[in-house]
Amino acid sequence: MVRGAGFGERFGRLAYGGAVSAGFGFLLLPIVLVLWLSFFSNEILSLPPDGYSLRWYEGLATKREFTDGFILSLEVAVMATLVGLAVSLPASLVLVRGRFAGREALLNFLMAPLIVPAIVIGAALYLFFIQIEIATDIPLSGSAPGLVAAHVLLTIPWCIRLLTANLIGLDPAIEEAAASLGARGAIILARITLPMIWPGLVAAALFAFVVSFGNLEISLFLVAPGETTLPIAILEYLEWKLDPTIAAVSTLQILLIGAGLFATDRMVGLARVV
Amino acid sequence: MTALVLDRLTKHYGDHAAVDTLSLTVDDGEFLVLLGPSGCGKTTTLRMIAGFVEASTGQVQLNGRDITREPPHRRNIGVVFQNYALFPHLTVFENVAFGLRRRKRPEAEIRTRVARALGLVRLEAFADRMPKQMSGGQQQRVAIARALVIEPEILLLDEPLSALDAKLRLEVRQELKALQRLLGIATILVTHDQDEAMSLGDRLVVMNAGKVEQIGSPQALYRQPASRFVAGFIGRGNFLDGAGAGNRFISRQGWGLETAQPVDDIATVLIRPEAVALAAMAGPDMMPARVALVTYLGPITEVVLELASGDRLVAEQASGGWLDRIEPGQDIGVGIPPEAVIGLGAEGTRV
Repeated sequence: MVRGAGFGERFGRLAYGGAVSAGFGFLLLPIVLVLWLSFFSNEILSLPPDGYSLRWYEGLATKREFTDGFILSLEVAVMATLVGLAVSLPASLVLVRGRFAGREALLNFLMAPLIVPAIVIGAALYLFFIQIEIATDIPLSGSAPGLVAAHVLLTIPWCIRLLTANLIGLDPAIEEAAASLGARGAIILARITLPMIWPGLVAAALFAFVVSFGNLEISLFLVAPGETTLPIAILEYLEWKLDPTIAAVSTLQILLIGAGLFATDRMVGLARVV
Repeated sequence: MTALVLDRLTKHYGDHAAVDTLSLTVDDGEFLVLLGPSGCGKTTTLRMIAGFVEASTGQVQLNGRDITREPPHRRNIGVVFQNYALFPHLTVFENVAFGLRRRKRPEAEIRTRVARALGLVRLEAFADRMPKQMSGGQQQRVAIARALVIEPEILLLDEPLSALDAKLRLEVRQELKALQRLLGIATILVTHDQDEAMSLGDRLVVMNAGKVEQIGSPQALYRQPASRFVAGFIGRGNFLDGAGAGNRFISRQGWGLETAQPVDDIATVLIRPEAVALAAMAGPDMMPARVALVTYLGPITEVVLELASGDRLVAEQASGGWLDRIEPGQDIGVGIPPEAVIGLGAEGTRV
């Protein structure tokens, strides 16, 4: 009986380990494939490859659509992250500290971009920007500020989630102690509150950046002809060519985001904030 | 000299008055304790003095200056919180230096004053530690140093000992008392713990439902409680309901008691357990009573007695002698000295 129970337990543990490994394998295999493909020397993808080379990476430097796309994506993502944080921090403070009617509704409203499909947001913003342009002559669609504004919308739910989670765990007495020692509001925020929620801030910035940098659906509606973000450049390239260039671009993108995660982990410890 | 005056201070939350026209004064160097059950308004009162909660009406005066509408950072009040509220990202030194840096003191002065403050709480050697590397008692001592270093005009302590374990609580309590005496700083402590209140306070303010029940020295509150609420909150006691006339009180069950003070119109009397006289046998001035329960507590023994009238009485005596050998069911003698019978007014009224 005891041996039977031991066997059942061992079998359960093995099955569990197998399921977890299979899950991770399913998630990681495409990424590994992309990394591998990017070093194939032949233009038409085939297995096994004829040989390996770095030509797709070398070719990238001369492909303007990718370098320009990368720079635009980077600019938009950085701006959207900064603006998203600037908007979300005061909102999170009010949501956590305030006791007012409609608090829950406001929180849900700010979370809405997570729930509404991005393609719907993109289409709606496009129509909205056109209407604004008709009414005021300010060309928002196809402009960088319009694109950044749209991406800010995407970053807000992530920032608010992570910041409120950090603020809730913060003992209000600590800020009161600072006040009693002579610190006014702005000093308390800069010297006490922000340093204490620093892990949340870093994590929020990272998530906001990743979400914005990788966004395709919303950007599709809002970029000007000839000026595209990296995800759109990839999509357009794929429409008429299927060589490992895409794999090389994707590999660089994965490395960039991986570096961001690594830096965050070094700075604050990812496990503590997510 | 009076350090702090609260003048008809009131805080409303909607229709509910958390603190209701509270008036009291704290003298220079005095240790005042606000004591009461949770929800009695003691913490709200403290928070109004610190400026964390805005008073609805009434006034707070600190050394003659009206600070009712001043924000907390301009009040120059030291506050110590229940959960220490240290800045977790700053060293002990920087925690204590925080208030001095806000006052833009020169670096050399900050160093000497922080060192002196840490010396007061015997933590000089811990200046470079982070708060979470220290025990609860050490953290609370850092918090005390941090509050004192700014030389506040008054020190407010919000249940500062209740997060500590029993042994540490006693230690920090004694240290706190010595420190307060040494510095001669006006201090208000909020607590629901009567032992803490009795041992620390020069004067105690017993609060109930947003109002002051009684203010007085620990001795006065124990010996002459103004109401059943105060008597029940400070120490333990036997409460007898009945009717008084002249110097005689008759319990509802028909037990007659002589009293030292007239008890006309008094409906309840208090007899402290230690004031009940016990004898191995009934005799003159000692009526018979049956032992219902004996609890040996080391230095004292607690005896629950059942009287012939049906009244029950809790008595406490120093252990030893015949008292160590009594058992439930046994008959012994019990006497109540007239001066031990304390007449109580109805709830909230003073006799």
